[in-house]
Amino acid sequence: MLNGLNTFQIVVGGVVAAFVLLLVLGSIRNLISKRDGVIWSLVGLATLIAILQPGITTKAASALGIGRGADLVFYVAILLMFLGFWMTYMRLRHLRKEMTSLVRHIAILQAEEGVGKGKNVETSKSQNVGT
Amino acid sequence: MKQVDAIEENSLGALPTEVKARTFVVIPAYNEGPALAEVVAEVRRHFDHVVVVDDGSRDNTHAVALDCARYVLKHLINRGQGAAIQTGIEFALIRGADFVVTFDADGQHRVEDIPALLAPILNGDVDIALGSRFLGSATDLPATRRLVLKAGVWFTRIFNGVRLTDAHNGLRAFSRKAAQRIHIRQDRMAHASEIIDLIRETELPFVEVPVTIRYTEYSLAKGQSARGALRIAFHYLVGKMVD
Repeated sequence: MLNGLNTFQIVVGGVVAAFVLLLVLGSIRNLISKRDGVIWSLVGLATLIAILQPGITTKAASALGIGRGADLVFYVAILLMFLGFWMTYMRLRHLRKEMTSLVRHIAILQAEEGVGKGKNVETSKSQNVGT
Repeated sequence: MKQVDAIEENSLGALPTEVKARTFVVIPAYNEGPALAEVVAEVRRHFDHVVVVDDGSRDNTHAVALDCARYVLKHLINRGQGAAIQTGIEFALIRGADFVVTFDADGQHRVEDIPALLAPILNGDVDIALGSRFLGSATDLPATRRLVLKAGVWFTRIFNGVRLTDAHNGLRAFSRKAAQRIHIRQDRMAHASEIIDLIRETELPFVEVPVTIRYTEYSLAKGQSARGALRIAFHYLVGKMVD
């Protein structure tokens, strides 16, 4: 079967296939989230199909009213890139929130009582209610 | 009380000592070394429970705070003003605060305005009082800054659906109940708009109270430019979409 494939298909197809395999194994072993595993495995599989059956992109393109298969691949690639950016940004936000909780927790645990009394403090006599 | 602030002492003097003792004033501070001591000293003349949250400052803010504030909390890493306020509020609640006031470290707020913010909460009319410079007065407010703030007010009207005269004022007072229910997740400057959202969502009664903002060269440099405001709007909208 490999006889029918050109060098590009063998090399890039092999890399993408290995990538999909890693994603599948990774999500089974919980190294990556199931959601990410499914999304990027599907993207990898679609890429693999497009590599092995180049004609299919042209058919899909004309079905969607886009001229050439290569154009469709280009548009999809840009959309996926944005998806990737967005997911990374969300991950970053999540990390920031976790960092804030941690920093807040430490700040409260290590709260210090001021040593000075400030200037002309009048109302500070023995009013430690609630402490 | 004292003659120094004779004109404005009346309202502060009228505020029962017991109320002052149950009030925690939270001051978030990021690189506020130059202004902090004076601001904290002014607040502490009337309120003992002053909590300075040093938001990972690289200047002497922490040392200054230790010298004048009652409590000093330190963010090991800068997390933004919203995060610092939330940290201060949580600490105040742990220490049993019945009223929490947020106050800026740059000297733009006046301690004399605090009684007016606490009054409607004390009466039981509302749980939250928001300071408004446009109901009150803003001294030496440049036209461009006024424009940015007014844009913020309209932004709030459109996206929060709440009509306010001043949506981005750091001087606020919360009842204990409100402080417990308002949890700020916007770590940076978008917390001001977020608080308005939280007020609407929690349906806590609130009121705007006229306050005076003193604009100085220092506080203006610390404030938001139009560009900064756009960045804040972006953070706010993303937070609204995904949180």
